[in-house]
Amino acid sequence: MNNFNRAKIQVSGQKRSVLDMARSRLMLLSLFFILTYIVVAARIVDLTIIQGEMKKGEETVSMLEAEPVQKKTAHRADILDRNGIILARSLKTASLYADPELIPDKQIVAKDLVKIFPELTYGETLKKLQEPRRFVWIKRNMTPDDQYKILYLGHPGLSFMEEERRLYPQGPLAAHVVGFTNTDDHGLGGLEAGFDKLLMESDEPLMTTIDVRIQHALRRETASAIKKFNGLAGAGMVMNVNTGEILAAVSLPDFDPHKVNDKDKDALFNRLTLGVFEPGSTFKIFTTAAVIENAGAGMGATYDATKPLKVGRFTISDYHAEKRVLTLPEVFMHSSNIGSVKMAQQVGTDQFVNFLSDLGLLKAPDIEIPEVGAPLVPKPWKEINTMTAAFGHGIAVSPLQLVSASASIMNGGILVKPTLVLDKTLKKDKGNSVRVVSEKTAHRMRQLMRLVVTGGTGGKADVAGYNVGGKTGTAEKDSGGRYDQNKLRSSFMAFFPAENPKYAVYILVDEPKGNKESYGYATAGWVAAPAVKKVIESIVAIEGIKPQDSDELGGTLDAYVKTKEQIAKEKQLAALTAH
Amino acid sequence: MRLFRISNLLSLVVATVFGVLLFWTSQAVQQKEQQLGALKKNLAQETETVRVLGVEWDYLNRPQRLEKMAAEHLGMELPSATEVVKNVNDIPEPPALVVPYNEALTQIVSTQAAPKTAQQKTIPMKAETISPSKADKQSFDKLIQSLDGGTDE
Repeated sequence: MNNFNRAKIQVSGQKRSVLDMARSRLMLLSLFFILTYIVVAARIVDLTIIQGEMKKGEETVSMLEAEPVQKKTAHRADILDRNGIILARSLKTASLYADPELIPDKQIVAKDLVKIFPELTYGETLKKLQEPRRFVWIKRNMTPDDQYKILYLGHPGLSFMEEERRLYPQGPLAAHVVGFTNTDDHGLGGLEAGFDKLLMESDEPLMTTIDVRIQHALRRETASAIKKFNGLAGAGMVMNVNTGEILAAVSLPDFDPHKVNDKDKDALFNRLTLGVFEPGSTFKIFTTAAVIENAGAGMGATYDATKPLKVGRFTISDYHAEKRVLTLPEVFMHSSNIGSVKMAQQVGTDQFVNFLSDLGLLKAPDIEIPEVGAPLVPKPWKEINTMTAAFGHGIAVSPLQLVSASASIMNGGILVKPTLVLDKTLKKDKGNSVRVVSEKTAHRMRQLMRLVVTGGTGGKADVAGYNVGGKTGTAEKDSGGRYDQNKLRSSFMAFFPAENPKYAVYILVDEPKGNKESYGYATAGWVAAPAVKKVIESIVAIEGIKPQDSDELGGTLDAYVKTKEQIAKEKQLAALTAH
Repeated sequence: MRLFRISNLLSLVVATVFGVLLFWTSQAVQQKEQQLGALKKNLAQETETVRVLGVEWDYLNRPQRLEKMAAEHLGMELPSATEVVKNVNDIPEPPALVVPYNEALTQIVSTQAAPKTAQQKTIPMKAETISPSKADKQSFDKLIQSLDGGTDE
């Protein structure tokens, strides 16, 4: 025990040196430890005080406290309507596959699978599981709930392949606005393409100005007008004239964004923004506004529409020919081409072109989707172009341009910037607004539009209590360099309530054919106006708009419009004086 | 010497106590981390479920589907602007439409002798209805399955 007792150690040279060596080794060892501790202490001082002080600016959070980097909930952000209804959302879907070699008891697995998926049959499932392969699909694209049930079974050999799928719960309803994506999850049309990068990067949903209820009403009525009059195609739009927000935008035929057929170009074509057409008489809104604004024409101004106009090899005549001298309101309400040409001449080519340019009709409009058509404008613009453009021919614009430009007049004269994205921070910036016509002209135009509905071609669009104002447009289609009387493009541009419009409603039907109900007519007043009326009735119910007791603008221009009796009397008088 | 030993003992006890405390804390932290992980996983699963249900809800509430269902099952039709009522007092007294189940039973039992008055009170269902197209009746699961064409292999 006491081998190391000093008393017992014999003092001898050899033993002493052994002891000394042990002691010096011990000293060295303890020195080493002391040094190590000093280094550790110094390092602690360095880390906590010196470096800690210096890095005070940076956030120092412990690993536990640190929020893990928030994983994006989906590959691609949602697209919502203005009320938060989902228009597009990416969902994880799982597809179940099996490796038959790893499944020991195939009958039990098949039985369990059939229990979860009643649409699978036991025999077929078992056959699949008995195949001598290492990969068989059992079920594609299932809901997370079903996936959980499979996992709960715990059978070996069943595995999932997870993918993200873009879903459009509204189907084709707003297909042209929302657009679609390819298999690589990249936007190929509509807002999906316009905001492709943003949708990929952001987790915030994209809120559009579309209201699915109004969108549905518009689509339903446009489709039923096309069906009723056996038309080829159609388009429609509902816009808030004060903000430029597009509440509904329809182009028919449309497509199912889940199954896009590249070859069906007709369905993929957006007639509302990409298509440009000769607008026909709806363009008279601008001609008339120009003559009131720039040439100072009053409601009493008269235009001789007794004879068709001959310009070169063209003859400009009236569809609803009155064959007499017409006042300005009469020209608008009977949609006289001759009168409109004379108005445009009164304005003058330069001023007329400038006016159209101010309204944004001569360049491609600015909207958030890539499908934007540039208007076809004659170059150089000659006198004859002014004359044809006066009644909406020889110039082609998209319905979107037409709606925004007329909304710019009807809202009181402030240029409208159409938009599909709901920006809640957007405030009405008065300083930024561009005035295109004076408030007085705007008021006159409201009166005139109301007159078209109360006494003119747009009578079928009137909704009692809501004072609809509007303008019909029936354009003959160009077929092989000639205008074909039997191929029409009928449209109606409406605003309500007329005294202070909030909504613009536009419907266009391509090549409608007259039927018994319309006495063979396929003009705008018969085709588009009733459809617009139904859309307005739906909007009223959806938005809960109260009907009005008074019709401020109705009848205000009656003094300038001759009644049938007056016209007959004048004819008699003329006949008498001629004799 | 004695004092030295007491302090030794004390420090030993303190060290042990701290050691145990440290061990306990680290175990507790590990446990909490596991719980947190499980909760997060759960949350992610629930979030995904909510996202799926959101799509399903909006899919089933498509305006065209609701409109057809309302026509088919409730005999409802599109309102016209003339039906908009300006004044609350203009709304006529609603007929007894919804009768509690028990009451309805007793009514049937008690008024079998003279059922005519009871019949008059219910709103007649519209005879002609629009039957929904196949697409309108399609369930949400079918939609999800059809995404890939639904084919095997």
